[in-house]
Amino acid sequence: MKSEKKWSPFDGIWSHNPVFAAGMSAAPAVILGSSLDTALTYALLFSTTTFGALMISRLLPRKIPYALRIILYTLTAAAVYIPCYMAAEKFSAVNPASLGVFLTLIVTGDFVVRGSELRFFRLKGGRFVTDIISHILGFDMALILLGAVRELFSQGGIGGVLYGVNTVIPILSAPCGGFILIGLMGALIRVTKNN
Amino acid sequence: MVKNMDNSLTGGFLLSAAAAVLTENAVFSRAFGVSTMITAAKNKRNLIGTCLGVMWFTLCAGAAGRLMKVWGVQADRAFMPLLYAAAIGIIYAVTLVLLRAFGGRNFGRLKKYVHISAFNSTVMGTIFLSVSRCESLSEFLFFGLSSGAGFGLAAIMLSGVYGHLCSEKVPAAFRGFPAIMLYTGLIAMAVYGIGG
Repeated sequence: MKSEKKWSPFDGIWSHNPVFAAGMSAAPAVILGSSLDTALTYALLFSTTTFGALMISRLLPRKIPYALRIILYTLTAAAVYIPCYMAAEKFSAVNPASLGVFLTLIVTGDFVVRGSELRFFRLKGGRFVTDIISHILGFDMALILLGAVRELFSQGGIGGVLYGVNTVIPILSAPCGGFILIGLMGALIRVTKNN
Repeated sequence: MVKNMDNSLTGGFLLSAAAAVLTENAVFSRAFGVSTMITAAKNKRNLIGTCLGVMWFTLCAGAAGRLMKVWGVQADRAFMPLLYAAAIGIIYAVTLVLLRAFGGRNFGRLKKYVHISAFNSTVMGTIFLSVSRCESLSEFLFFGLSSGAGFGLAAIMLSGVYGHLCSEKVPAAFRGFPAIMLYTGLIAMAVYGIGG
């Protein structure tokens, strides 16, 4: 983990972006980040569930053995997910049920199981909350960027509206396109970090 | 004649197993367990332990999926993660208890593989997909085992080149994680080409 001195509230958005730099939650980014609508719906559910789950899980005493703590983290996330899902069903443009297996992965995702112990819960007070928000925003931005770019260049438009892209690359919407774009964005972040 | 039939049955089973592991690969076609795969491939000493751990959990996840179907446990979509997370939590706890009882002195060394393997998207994805796709017990177990084997195959393939992808010869911007993603993307493209 980055030392507290070098910590920045923008870590999660750029230099330690969960998708492009830290390799967290790759499955939804690769599969659901293929169209803007699905990316937006997932981002909404992911953000609310993960934020709620981490805030509540933080209250669990550290005296509880690690194995039990991890089970409680995932069960907490699954409980927070219930009202979030019901709200998404009412207000989201895309039926969340269409996102299938990837929605259930939120509760055992890297944010809840690994990020909590290895990063978030090691920070104190305001930094803890800011770091979670920054990482969730970083994930959302990465997912939405991937969704928009992949939909535009694989179908020639976004949401059925064409934007004059003459050469489309259909394979960009496949999982391989997601992996390759994540790799390229990861390299771009490295370049900006090193300079 | 009977021997020929046996051979064709075995051949058919092996072919379908290979197809399941390759074209339905958890990592390359669904991007499940990428961070666990990288953790496993990073250190060759942990590779086999992690792969066996994931296979154990996906096999148990398949069995749990079968039990849910037999008992008619159905959850509304909003409650599904709670049900599946509880199932994985039980498998995780039982595995640790078994390891404690039979692992002897190796418990301390082996439990880290249990921690790494239990809560990842390959295991959760196996329960979800097996419940919607499988009918008989053998189908559930085969699906669970092939999901774990697919993960293992991907981790072993990455482990073989991990040192090269992180070496000084790779430009600094691409060294490590970006190169791993590009490599995984190229393999996924090949798998996509085979499976269509």
